Amino acid sequence: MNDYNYKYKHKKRAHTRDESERREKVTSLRSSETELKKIQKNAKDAGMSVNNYLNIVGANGGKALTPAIMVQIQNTINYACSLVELHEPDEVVTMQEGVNDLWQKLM
Amino acid sequence: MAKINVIRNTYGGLDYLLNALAYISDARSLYRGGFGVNPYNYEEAYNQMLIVRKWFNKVSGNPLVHIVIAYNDKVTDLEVAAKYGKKCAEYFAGKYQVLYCTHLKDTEYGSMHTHIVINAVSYHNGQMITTGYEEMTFFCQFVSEVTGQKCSFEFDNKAIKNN
Repeated sequence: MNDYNYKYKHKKRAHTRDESERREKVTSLRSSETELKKIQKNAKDAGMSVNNYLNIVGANGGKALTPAIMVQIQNTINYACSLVELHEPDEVVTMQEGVNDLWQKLM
Repeated sequence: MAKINVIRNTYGGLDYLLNALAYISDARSLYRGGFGVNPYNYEEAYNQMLIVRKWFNKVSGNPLVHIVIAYNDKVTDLEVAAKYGKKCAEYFAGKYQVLYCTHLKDTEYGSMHTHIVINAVSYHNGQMITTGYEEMTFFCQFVSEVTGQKCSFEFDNKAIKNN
């Protein structure tokens, strides 16, 4: 292997994520086997790793709404708006404002 | 033949997201729709995308994927183009927030075309979207089925890192 290849292989990949979003802190978790299995199942159902799942659920804990639920509500309202926009355009604004208020609850 | 242009700017930041949403929603946008966002107000759509990114702690990084589908000259009816646009946008709606707008022919695209702007972070599990050759080949096949036209795609990478 020549020098050029060696350097290329070990070149640090450029990343676009902000340093503040880097997950570099490590902690440990103590749980029973049953609890751990439940966490693993819930993480799998959510399509996430256990690490990612605990981070997301822990950081956003206490909120009844989730992005997936909000998207479902938004899509239903969009459909309703498409039906009423020809006859009652003002109602579209009112309906969208209502959903937007719900979106703010995720913040 | 329908042509798909996949525009990616990994280093564009949130300004790029806002600008892209504003661009596709301007006066040329004759038919507009959205999945998981408010299609009537691009600023609200931007905020809704931002809320999802904040939820998953992925505000920075690749902001969006912008796909333009230019139909062939046989598509002359806006309603038909809009119907195709909605179906094509729906392809991503199961995991990502999408705003799509259908424009008439202009100087850049010589035929009716649909712009699709996709939030790069999934509202489902926070995964970043991947738009490699394989994924776009599947999407291209889907567009072919929807439009009944042969379809090709190309990447337009605008990623330039400014340090």
